[in-house]
Amino acid sequence: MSTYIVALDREVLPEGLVRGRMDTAELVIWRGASGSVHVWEDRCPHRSSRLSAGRNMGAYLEDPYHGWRFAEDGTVIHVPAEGGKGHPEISAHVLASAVTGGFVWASAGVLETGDFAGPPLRPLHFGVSANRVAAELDPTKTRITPWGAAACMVYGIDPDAMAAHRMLTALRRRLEAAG
Amino acid sequence: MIRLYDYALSGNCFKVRLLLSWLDLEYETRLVDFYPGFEHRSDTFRKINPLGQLPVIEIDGQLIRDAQAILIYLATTRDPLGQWCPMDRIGPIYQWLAFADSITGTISAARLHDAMFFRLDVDKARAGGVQLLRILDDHLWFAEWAGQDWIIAGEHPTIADIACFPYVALAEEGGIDLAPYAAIQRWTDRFMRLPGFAPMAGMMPLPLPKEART
Ligand code: FES
Repeated sequence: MSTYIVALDREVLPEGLVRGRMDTAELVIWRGASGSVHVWEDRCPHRSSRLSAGRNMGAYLEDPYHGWRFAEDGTVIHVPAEGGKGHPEISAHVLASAVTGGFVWASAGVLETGDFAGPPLRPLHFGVSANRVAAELDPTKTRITPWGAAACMVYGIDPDAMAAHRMLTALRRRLEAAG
Repeated sequence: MIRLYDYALSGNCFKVRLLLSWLDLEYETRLVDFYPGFEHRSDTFRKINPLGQLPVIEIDGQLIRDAQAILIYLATTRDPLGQWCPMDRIGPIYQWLAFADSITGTISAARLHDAMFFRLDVDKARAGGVQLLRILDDHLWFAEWAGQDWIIAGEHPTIADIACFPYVALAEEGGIDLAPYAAIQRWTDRFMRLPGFAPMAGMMPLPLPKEART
């Protein structure tokens, strides 16, 4: 179970919901009123609707479909159909996560963030597999998160952000053209 | 009286309705049954717009067709503060209006295929749409980096935002995943939180709770 970067810390805004992926899992990433960032599977434990279509109310995340509310720790605190009753035994699918070096990290297993910090580049989505991109890049300056089998998101650090961004964009064009 | 030839599920009509309401303009609506009636292809409607496209607006004794043209006309004749189409940034505004037109040809086309069963090359439409979303996402990401919220630098959103917004927000109805475009999502969130914004069907802007509004 690998640990992956799933977002830039400063892009997880209060009141917002960020969508992400990690391997085959779709994610919803949000910052609660406490200031902590949460990484959950983007799937409601009620009927599997996309939680990222809901809203971040600070103290809780609300699924629009049937109005279930999830506290920052993932537990169900409000079910409208049951008069607002909580269900502490039911929880969103919470992943282990941490914020370090300006990045949000998550893992479906044990979390190992390592030391990777620096001025973050603009994250770039590639329409080719993580392995193909990894073969081309310096692992000390980039981290690659698979988005399904045929795509990935590339996170990087580089003091010369614009030059590095141009290099990555050119690489993406080349790899995607090669099919 | 302004008259708008309108269809509820058209993003291009939605743009015009948005600006009309933000400019606080009264108008009457003439509904055209685009789908499933295909009324826009009728002889009667072709007298109003030979291209058979919506929206069309009747204003100041003339008919103006094309969403982007209508936005420019309204913003330059009905907005005394000049906020929606600032003349000192007219170059970039025209550039992004043309970009919005390409969005109609790709992302909106994919949606017509998926949601209204139009026959067209949907893979090509989606691939073209992805290229445009990447360009817009890039632009917005670097704009945010420079402290800007909107497509055109400045405090106030412009017709460039209105023109690009609807079909981007509706992209998933055409089978285009928006998850890779985080800067676009932050921009659509900001846009939908503008005072007076009312969504069209298929958009999911849940109003923020009062206590979370700033
Ligand atoms: S599917 Fe989430 S509340 Fe019903």
